[in-house]
Amino acid sequence: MVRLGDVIATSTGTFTAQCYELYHSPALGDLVKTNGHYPTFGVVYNIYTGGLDPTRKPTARGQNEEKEEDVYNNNPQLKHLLRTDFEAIIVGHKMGSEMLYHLPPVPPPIYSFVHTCDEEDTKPIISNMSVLRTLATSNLEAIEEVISAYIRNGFKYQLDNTEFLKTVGVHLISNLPGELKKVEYILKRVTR
Amino acid sequence: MSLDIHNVVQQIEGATNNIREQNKFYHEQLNRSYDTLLGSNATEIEAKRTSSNTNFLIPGISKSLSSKYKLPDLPENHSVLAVDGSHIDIDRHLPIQCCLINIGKVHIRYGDSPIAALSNHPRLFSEKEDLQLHETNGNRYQTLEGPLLGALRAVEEMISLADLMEETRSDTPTLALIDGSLILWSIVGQTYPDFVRNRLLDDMFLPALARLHKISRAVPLALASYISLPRSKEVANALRLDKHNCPYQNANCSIHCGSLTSGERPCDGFTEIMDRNLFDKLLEVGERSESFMSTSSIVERYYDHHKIHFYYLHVGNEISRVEIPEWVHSNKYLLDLTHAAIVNQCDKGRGYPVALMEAHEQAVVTNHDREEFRKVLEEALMRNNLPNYTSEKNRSKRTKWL
Repeated sequence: MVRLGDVIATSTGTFTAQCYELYHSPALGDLVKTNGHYPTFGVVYNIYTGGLDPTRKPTARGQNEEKEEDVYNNNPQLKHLLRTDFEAIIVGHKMGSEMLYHLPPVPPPIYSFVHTCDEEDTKPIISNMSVLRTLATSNLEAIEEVISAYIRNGFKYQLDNTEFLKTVGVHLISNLPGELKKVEYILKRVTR
Repeated sequence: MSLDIHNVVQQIEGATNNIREQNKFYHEQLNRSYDTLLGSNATEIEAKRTSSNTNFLIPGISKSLSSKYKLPDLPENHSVLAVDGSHIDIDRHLPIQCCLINIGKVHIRYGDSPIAALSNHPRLFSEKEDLQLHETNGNRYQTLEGPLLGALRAVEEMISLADLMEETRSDTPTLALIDGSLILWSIVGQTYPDFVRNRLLDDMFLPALARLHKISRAVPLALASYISLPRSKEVANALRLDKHNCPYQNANCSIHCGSLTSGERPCDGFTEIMDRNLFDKLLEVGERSESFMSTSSIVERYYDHHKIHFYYLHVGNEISRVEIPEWVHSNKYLLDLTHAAIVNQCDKGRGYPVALMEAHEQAVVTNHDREEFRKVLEEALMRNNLPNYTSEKNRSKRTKWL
């Protein structure tokens, strides 16, 4: 497990973490885990990089640079003035050793450490289709892309990807009634 | 009530007309003074300065008035250290007497292994002893507030810069930069007793300069201070001594012209001209002027081998003033390093040295911060069951009512 950052905003259904290092965020659709009394699992649905101070907006600097990395190399302070945050939708939590696929009684506290999930954590969550329901029924922006990425991440834990996709498809159809186009969109992006 | 902006607009329009008139006058003066800058004999003016007694400040001129120097090469591997400060003054309406100095520190290394470190260090002064500057061997003291607190802040900035240089142990060519002047002007002309100047300069500021000087003997370290949009007139004042403007062989303003009002004196032709106006005409982007030596009384009396020199620098959109101690001025490599590194810093910072900009951002205490400071202070007093009475005036400002 790799420690990614600290929770800096938290609510019943989502939390936001600030990365320890600029651009060192998990990828869209990745599963992440917080510490705390109720270790909480979330799927990354938004990644944001911007100025540490909201009143100081980044401005173009590369006009006279040959390569993009030269902008950072010639302005080493930038890495201290920018930040990368990511937001995760909560899909479950642990009560003792038991994994529960609903919201924790309280969200993870501010400054909880956020980690990547190892295989032991990820396998059962990916196999549990109720997570798909949580994602599919949320009103988050670009959630179709998030679901596609989440399913793609699950491939490496499957013996038979086709069978896995069929199961996923069935659950998506049942969770998104009357939204076949949306389901088709999600599944197409899983394989492309 | 909010400001009656319509009323102000009319007054601003009136002021604009006056400024237009003044501009015409200013351009005439500028052309005349610029011609004098190019045509004056620097050796004659310097000789006259040393034998004259003027009531305006004239710098020491070593070579020429109008020499200029191209932008030197900047070592690819170099570092810039910068420090800036901000403070919250004593507020007599607060429940306790206290003040705060916040120092922002920046270290940026450029080249093969670029890094940056940014930090800030707030220090609260609340003990009675902390809030007073005491005489070393005596019982006199001066309360740290107003301009004196500002002066202490400037001193703390220099101490922090020396600390930062010692902490970073930089061995690449390094520019240590501070905002404003290396001359503690805020204690000049004030009616402070001598021990205040002795404490601030002899015990604190000058030892910090000496630490930096000591390091500069081992590693290429150049100390400089940077003044954006300087208002100084020292070089323009030197032109007043030119034989065409001052007919006396040894000028003595009080004796020769003491009975004349301002505008009647033969040297009054350049009154509107600041040094930056002259060097804006003389310098191309990236060039620096000749260096001049400050002859301010505080430097001459206290600064010893740290005597302050200054030059003007065209950084693109403005002429800035760079001040350096004697030991940087007399070392061509270090002098060129200040020139090249400051121009590069201004390029990176879009007109202002980027390291100073970040040091300022680290140090700045916003109005919101000041309000938070007040709240935290009052809450701490309440939590500890201590009196937290604030003045009725303060209370009335905070609780707006009809």
